[in-house]
Amino acid sequence: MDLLSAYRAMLGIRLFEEGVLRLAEQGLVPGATHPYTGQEAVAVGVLAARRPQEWVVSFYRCHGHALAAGSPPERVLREILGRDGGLCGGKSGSMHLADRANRLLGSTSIVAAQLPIAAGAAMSAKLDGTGQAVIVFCGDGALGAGGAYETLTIAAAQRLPLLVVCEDNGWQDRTASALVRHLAPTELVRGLRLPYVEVDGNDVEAVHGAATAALAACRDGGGVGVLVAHTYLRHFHSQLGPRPPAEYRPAAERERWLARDPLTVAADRITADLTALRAEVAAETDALIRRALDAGEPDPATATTGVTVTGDALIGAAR
Amino acid sequence: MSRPHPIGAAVRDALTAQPDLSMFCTYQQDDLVARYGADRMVRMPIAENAMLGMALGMALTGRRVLVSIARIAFLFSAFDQLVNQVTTWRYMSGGQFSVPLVVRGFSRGGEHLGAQHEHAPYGLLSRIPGLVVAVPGSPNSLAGLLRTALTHPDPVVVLESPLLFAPDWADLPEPEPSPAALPFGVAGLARTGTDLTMVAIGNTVAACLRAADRLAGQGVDARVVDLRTAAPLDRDGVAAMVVPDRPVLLVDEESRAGSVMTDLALHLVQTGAVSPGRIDLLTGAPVPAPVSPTLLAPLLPDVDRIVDAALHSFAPDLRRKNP
Repeated sequence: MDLLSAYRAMLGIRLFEEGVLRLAEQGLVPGATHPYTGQEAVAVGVLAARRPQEWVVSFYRCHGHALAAGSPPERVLREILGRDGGLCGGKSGSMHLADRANRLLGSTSIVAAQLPIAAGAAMSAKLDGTGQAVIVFCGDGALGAGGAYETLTIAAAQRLPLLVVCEDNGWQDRTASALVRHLAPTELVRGLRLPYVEVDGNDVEAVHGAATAALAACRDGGGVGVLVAHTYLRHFHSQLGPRPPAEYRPAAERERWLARDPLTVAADRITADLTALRAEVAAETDALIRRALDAGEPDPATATTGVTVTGDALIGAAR
Repeated sequence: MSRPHPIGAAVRDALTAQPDLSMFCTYQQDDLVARYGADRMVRMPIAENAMLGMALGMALTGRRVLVSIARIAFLFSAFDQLVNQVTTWRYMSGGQFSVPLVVRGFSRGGEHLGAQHEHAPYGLLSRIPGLVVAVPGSPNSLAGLLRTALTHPDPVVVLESPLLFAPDWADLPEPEPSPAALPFGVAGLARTGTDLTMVAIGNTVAACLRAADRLAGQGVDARVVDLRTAAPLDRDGVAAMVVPDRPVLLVDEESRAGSVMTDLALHLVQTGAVSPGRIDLLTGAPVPAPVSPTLLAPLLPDVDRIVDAALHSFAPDLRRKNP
């Protein structure tokens, strides 16, 4: 992984997400938005290690995963804004991004529901025999859900080529994880005797190195592996409507983490002057935001399309 | 008497014709494992939520899974995957993906397993957008609907009455001439008749056919319509199949509120297929299934109750023909 391009990718996500938050405060984002600010090193580090045909499965905090997977930022933003030309035609919004062309299988807004879906994709990969792994992202809260336990036990028994990337930011919505669980994610997966690796999630090079090794083991018949990346959100868990929520995390904890921002960690290792690059990414982001805001609304006639392959005749809609 | 159950050939034919078809099962079917391999006949732990999610993941990546969930009652453990995931990913992705997966399981009938095992929730399932809900009323229609399900591009749930597998299954009234594939959303004419139309679904198909035999002995010639699928619901097809100017009796094991039969009744009345005074419903009671057969019997429509309803609900009409 080239550190400079990783920095560029992380900066792109950061500025994109800060743009989304500004738009949300202007009331331009329908529904909820879950910013990825502060966790960019995880998506960028992990997805730089995937093969182009490997599927990625995400959850409601999916913007960073989609962008790092290669989804066109303007189409992602149009989707988040519910505008014409969105990645999913205005039906996914912020929380359910899917991009078949870039092998983003989809994202779910139900905690942990993505884990069995990814395991199914991994079963397909295993049956295909092409040596591909599947990457699934989740938060640390997801590992407390029943579906996670079911999935991990099945994936282990079946030796499915699945890499579970746990973004451990220590919070489950507004509840500190430490208050509601007695085992850390690493202890949980150790109890299941799954191979796991723990990594500084704000260090993109460390994440990339760990993901590269873990994916190689998955692909090599090692079965399910877990990567626990310790990281932190710069912003709140989610924003619904134009008013950002008040900070709910302890000030000392927040200060400690924000001092170790993944962009700073990477920039400190880059000797080249980043001024021009920063200006360039900022200009690109501003331009795509302007274009997305200029887009029209989706055609209301498309509201009923895509429910089934077979079409309305078989939907059985009451007429 | 020794006729093989038509479901066996339906499953084997699909597994042979479709190398991308896998089966998830919590009960081992050794003959199928031996024939199609353990890679495709995937033995699963009791984990319905994960099973449905995995089946979805496989479907999204170009395969198809037949999830044998043992009992439809257990589908409630997997309701997030069914309602929030399986039936939404196609729509949420703007049509980028399709979800060809099939769930089959025992519904209700003849087993007396009680409130947590005896469910036939086709009305409930029929309200999930994008889901096909097949409710076969005979062994051949079970095989026919499953054959269609296994080539259908969208998710399908097949609710299989245990009565279709009971030791005397071959003695069930059989409206389908063969186990050939049956289309979804197309009701079948299970019995012709001119005096009234009985509309049935699932277990009430056999009950209505037996009731029609009984009614014939009393000079009443009853037609029986088998809905076959709760979703899509063949509203227009049924409207075309009722006997003009004669009464209609809708018979359902499910309770009345929000059921497919109340939906159908409104359609039949609104379209003028039947006059409001000539339509009635005979439905199950909104009570969990008790284990005691004596307690269960009064909660469900049976042949006696169907005959009674047919004769009494429409007494003036039937008397006019049979003075």
